[in-house]
Amino acid sequence: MKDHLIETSGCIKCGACINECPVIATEGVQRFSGPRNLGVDAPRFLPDIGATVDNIMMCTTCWRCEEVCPANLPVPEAILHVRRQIFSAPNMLHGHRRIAENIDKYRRSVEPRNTHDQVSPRGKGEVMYFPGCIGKERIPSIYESSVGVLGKVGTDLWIPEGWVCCGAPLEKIGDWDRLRMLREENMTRFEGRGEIVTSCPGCTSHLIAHYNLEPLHTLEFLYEDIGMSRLRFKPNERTIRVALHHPCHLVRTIGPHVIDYAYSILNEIPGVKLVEMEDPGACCGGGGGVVAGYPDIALNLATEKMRKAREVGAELLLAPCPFCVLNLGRLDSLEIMEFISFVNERLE
Amino acid sequence: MPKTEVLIVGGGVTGAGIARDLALRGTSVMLLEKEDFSTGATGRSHGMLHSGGRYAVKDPESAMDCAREGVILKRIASYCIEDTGGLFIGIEDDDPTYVDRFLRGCAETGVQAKEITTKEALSLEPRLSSRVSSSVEVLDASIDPFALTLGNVEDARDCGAEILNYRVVQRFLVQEGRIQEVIFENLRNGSRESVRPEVVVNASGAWVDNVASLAGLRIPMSIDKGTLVVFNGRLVNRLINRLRMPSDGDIIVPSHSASIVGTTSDRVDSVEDFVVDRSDVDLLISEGQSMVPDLRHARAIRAYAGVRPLLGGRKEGRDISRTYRVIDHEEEGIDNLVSIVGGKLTTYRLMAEKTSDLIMCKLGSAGHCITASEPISNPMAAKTVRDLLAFPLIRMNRKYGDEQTDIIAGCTSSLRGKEILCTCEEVLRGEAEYFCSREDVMRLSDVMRRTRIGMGYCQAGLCIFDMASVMMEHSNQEPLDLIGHYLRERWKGVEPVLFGSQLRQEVFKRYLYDGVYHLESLLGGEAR
Ligand SMILES: Cc1cc2nc3c(=O)[nH]c(=O)nc-3n(C[C@H](O)[C@H](O)[C@H](O)COP(=O)(O)OP(=O)(O)OC[C@H]3O[C@@H](n4cnc5c(N)ncnc54)[C@H](O)[C@@H]3O)c2cc1C
Ligand code: SF4
Ligand code: SF4
Repeated sequence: MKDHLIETSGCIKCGACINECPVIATEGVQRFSGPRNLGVDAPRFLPDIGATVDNIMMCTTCWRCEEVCPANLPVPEAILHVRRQIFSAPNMLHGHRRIAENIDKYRRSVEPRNTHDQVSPRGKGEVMYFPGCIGKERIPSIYESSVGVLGKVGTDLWIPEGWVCCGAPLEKIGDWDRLRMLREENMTRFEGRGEIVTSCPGCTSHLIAHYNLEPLHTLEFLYEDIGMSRLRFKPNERTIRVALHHPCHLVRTIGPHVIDYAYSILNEIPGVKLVEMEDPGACCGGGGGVVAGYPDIALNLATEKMRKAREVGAELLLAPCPFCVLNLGRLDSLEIMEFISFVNERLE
Repeated sequence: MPKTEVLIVGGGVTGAGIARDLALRGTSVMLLEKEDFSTGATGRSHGMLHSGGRYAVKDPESAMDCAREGVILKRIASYCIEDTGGLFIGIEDDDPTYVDRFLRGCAETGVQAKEITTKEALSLEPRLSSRVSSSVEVLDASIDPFALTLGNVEDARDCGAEILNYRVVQRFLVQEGRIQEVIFENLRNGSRESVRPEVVVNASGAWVDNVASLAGLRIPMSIDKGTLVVFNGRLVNRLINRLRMPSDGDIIVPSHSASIVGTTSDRVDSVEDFVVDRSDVDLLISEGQSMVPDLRHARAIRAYAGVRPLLGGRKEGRDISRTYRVIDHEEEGIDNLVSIVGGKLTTYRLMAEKTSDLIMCKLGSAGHCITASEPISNPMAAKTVRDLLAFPLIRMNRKYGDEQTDIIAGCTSSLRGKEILCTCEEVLRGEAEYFCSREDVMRLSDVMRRTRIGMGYCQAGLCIFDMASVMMEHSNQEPLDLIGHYLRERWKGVEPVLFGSQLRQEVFKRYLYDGVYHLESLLGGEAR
């Protein structure tokens, strides 16, 4: 594991991270003390670090601070490390305790709602699809569409029997005991996995960082493995104005190339008129355990995002991330859809 | 002309301790310090509350004093002590027979020590070298010398003592074998003032000889310089000592947000020789690394040096005992002058007690010492103050003891009070405002010693302008003078560690100061 005290000690106090942090922008420094305070300054006072508990869970882990830091310091990771250090089961935030309870009961980070599986490929194909909790249980259309799209392009798919939550939400709330337990359970079920595809940037990054696997997000799989030439879209007369949100974990932890794939695909879909909103990479508030821990902050960020999309006249906002769709979907000021679900609708 | 029963020269921890001791006994006291409190050896020390282990083999008398005083100070000054505990560790190439001598010495001097396995030591302190071959647990602790001295000052004031800084004692008027009058300069306005004391205490540390010479006396001193390097972050959580005959770079002290590695020992001629040699820095880093290898990657923030006031003699540096001596100059023909020489920060209370006993004798007064049982201030647990985040509150609790109630009130009474001025050390504007409005505070470094503002890794890179603006609300000094003076002081500590992150930091500051604020030209090229 990285040594976070030393890794972040190169801070020169330029303040770039503070200027860019979306939570500071909406909540102010009196409420959220920010990336430098939580990831760089506080960890130096080892015995006092527990005092960060009153605001460290407000970070959405949008990774923006690391992106702009001239010293390239791993600030979000350091924040997650502090969360791990100060984790104490009795002091969990209410919403975080619910996550832990769901894990214990259902092995999902959310309560399962999608009881009747309409699509359930049970083959032992070449490609393993990892559904993820939100896509499977909260917004089942994501799960169904992903399986649908992969089927339409001729992928031989299988889903590991008895898969459990990947553990990404537990990393965000600092609960490493449960995280390790889930990893072990999943690893036995991933036996004979072949290539891995997921719908969720959170799952993808987590499987890379904590399972040492090389999964692909569905967008990467479609663009790199299937190829644009095999995607055939339905003709469409009516034009629709579409804006694309750049999910934090997709563009900053998996990589900026993935969003380019999304644009390439959108450009091929008849009837889509792309409109570019201001700062499409601004955080929607959906990550970092903030939706569960501080729903008001998540909502403030989502409101900002929706405002920017409406400002450029978008009729539909697309996000290639179940968490973003879940959080943005709490507002009904604009139609919001997961990217692959939209692709599934338009694919021949 | 004002009178006082006792006039103390020197506002380091010893002088402040004597002032408190005497004031608690009901004596009228005046203390004069030529700069700010703790600017001498006190503020330049390592901040180690010795368990006595370091002296157990070579200097049993000091070891015994430290062992006893350590327990007392943890009781009476808990607000400024982090009771971390300490470890003595031997490294593979160190003399393997030393550990037995060490344990025997500890047993004979009453220093609590318990040998533990290397595995236990590594689980207590994961950053220790894997080459550790022997480990002993002791009761060392980390103590904040600034807060300790100020606690004594404030307590003495509460008992009626007059404690003044920026007053240089310049002349003693001696008649009939007594100091009749003490003449001093007030640096705030350049005026010359005097006072009639019954007894004078020379607690001027390394300057004792200079002060004694004002009465025509000599006190042979050995001036020994020690250098230390401050690293960012708490790399260890206990004090780490090298288990060998005391030598250079033996000790790492965790202090607030930093780890301090020290010290060296060199005989010097001048008591004002605070220059840090780059070679000493290199030596400390390499010795420190043999105990905690991560120091190689850690960020050196600054280096500083202090001079130890050691009792003279033919011995060199580390061979001179760390005990103290109370000198009654009556035999040399000055009836009412007492000097206190040598000692340690750890034993300051005992030194103050013995000195005060003699003074009470001279005054012919009764009144016995109560400092061994009377707490310096009653720190309260950080209260939940809804308006403030927990972090600055905990920090205030660790810095201010009794005074924190007023300071917290100042921070929460306005929106501006809550603003963080120094982010490295989590210092709020209200803290700076509280001290800037006090009589004692004249320079920016005075605010720093009281709040830790500017002590962090950027070395006041950002907070200096805020600090100056708060100061300007209470002072009519020229802001550029304040800033220039402070930056020159900081630069002395940073220059010896200009590599790695600290070099990058200084380049950024240079860009900010010159490129954005044009400070260099405003200060006439002095800002560095
Ligand atoms: C590098 C170093 C590390 C140390 N580490 C430790 C440690 O870890 N633990 C420990 O227990 N001890 C330590 N010590 C020893 C300890 O710092 C000293 O023993 C102690 O601080 C001495 O305090 P003092 O008040 O006697 O002297 P000082 O703090 O030097 O105070 C004397 C004061 O007298 C003032 N003064 C001088 N002349 C005049 C004048 N004419 N008029 C008015 N005022 C005057 C000076 O400005 C000064 O502030 C260390 C010492 C050094 C040098
Ligand atoms: S990861 Fe995002 S929310 Fe968290 S501190 Fe950095 S910029 Fe702020
Ligand atoms: S961006 Fe990086 S260097 Fe700048 S203040 Fe933030 S952590 Fe420090």
